[in-house]
This record gives sequence, structure tokens and C-alpha cells, in this order.
Amino acid sequence: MPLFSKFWRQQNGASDPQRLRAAGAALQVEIAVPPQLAAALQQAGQPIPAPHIGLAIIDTGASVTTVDVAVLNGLGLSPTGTANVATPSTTSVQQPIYACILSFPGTPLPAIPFNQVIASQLAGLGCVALIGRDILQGCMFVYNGVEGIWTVSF
Amino acid sequence: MALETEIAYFNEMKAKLLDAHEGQYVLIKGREIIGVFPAYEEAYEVGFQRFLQAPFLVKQIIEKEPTEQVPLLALHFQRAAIQ
Repeated sequence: MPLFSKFWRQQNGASDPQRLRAAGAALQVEIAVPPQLAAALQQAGQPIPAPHIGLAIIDTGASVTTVDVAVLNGLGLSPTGTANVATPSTTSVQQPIYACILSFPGTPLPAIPFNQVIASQLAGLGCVALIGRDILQGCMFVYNGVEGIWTVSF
Repeated sequence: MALETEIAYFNEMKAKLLDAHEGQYVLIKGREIIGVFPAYEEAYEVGFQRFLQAPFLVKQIIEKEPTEQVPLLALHFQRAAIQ
């Protein structure tokens, strides 16, 4: 089972829980067009958009993964549906859904072969994706705030 | 809004689709049902083959759609509503 851990350390080697608190469980993510679309584009003789690399934050509060809409549009993707997203009031709002694949360069974690993700504006958060429980349901995730370590295993 | 036509058509056809295909996935483009599939990956495959990067709708045929929880987005919507 591939495993990835991120340790936050001070210069003297001591654990640094404050840096983990500030950064969250963040890792590099590569967002690409789904393989079915890549194959169809190739068959049609059209170029396959280059993947986008950015930062993802694991968000255990989110039931579904969210990706920045500018990244999805930059890949030439179009929405393929909508999802109801709860708001603090009693009503929910509809957000567009896109299909894409997520992989994690620089880690041994396997790519998530196909995702339906919610699109939203995440630029203000300094990340391009929030990894939700739809992906976490297939892995083990340990957040050790005391030692400044988090671990994920798919 | 993208998919406005497809979503409206899905809502129009929902009762019939529920009767015949509950739990499956429908692929819609414009006001045409392209097909109904047991898995959403299959619906996407056909959608991408036929329409490449153009919008199309893939929807699970269920009575009540779930509401997703994304607290960070909820906060964003709340702030937008206040401003």
C-alpha cells in the first residue's frame, strides 16, 4: 500500500506543529483531462491539453473534491453536470461538475483514475484543489498535529 | 449557464427515466438522450467520443440528489450573500 508522509521540522530537527497548522495537509497535485477524453482527442487528431500542477489541501470537512474552475477551463474541459452544495442557510446552491484525473507527482501515491469534481474559485486559498472524502474513502489518512506530521496511504 | 437546456430536459424526462432506469446514468446533449448506462464512466466515454470538449450532461437517475458538504465553499457563498 503506497504511503506518503510529510514531516514539518524546525532547523534543530524538532517537530514543528505550528507549520503544519498553518500549511494544512498539503501536497502537490497534477490535474489532467480524463483518459477517455485524451483518447478521443488523439483519435480526432487534436492536441491533448498539458496537465496543470499545483497545490492540493486535504479537507476532511468536504464530502467531495473541489478543483479551481480556472484550472479546469484551462484544460479545455466543459461542465458535465451540477451538484447541490450546502450553504449556512437552509438552501443549497448548484455548482458545476467536471470530470478530470488527479495524480500526485513526487509521491508514491497512485493516480485517481477518474473523478467527478466540483468547480469553484479557489485562488484565494493558495491551492488548486481541495481533496474531499470522495477520495479519502479509498485511503487511510493520519493527522498528527502534536508531532507536525501527516500521512496518507492509498 | 452551460447545460441549462440539458438540465431542463432531464427534469422534464425524470419521471419516465426513473420508471425505466432508476440508479443508472443518462447522457444528454441538447434535448436528446444519447443513452443510458449502468456506470458513469461508460456514459462519459461515449460523451467524450461524440462531443470531445463540448458540454454534455451525465446525470444519475435518482429521486433525490444528495447535497454535498464543502464548508469552505459554504463560507464563500455566505460572504458573497452578505456583500
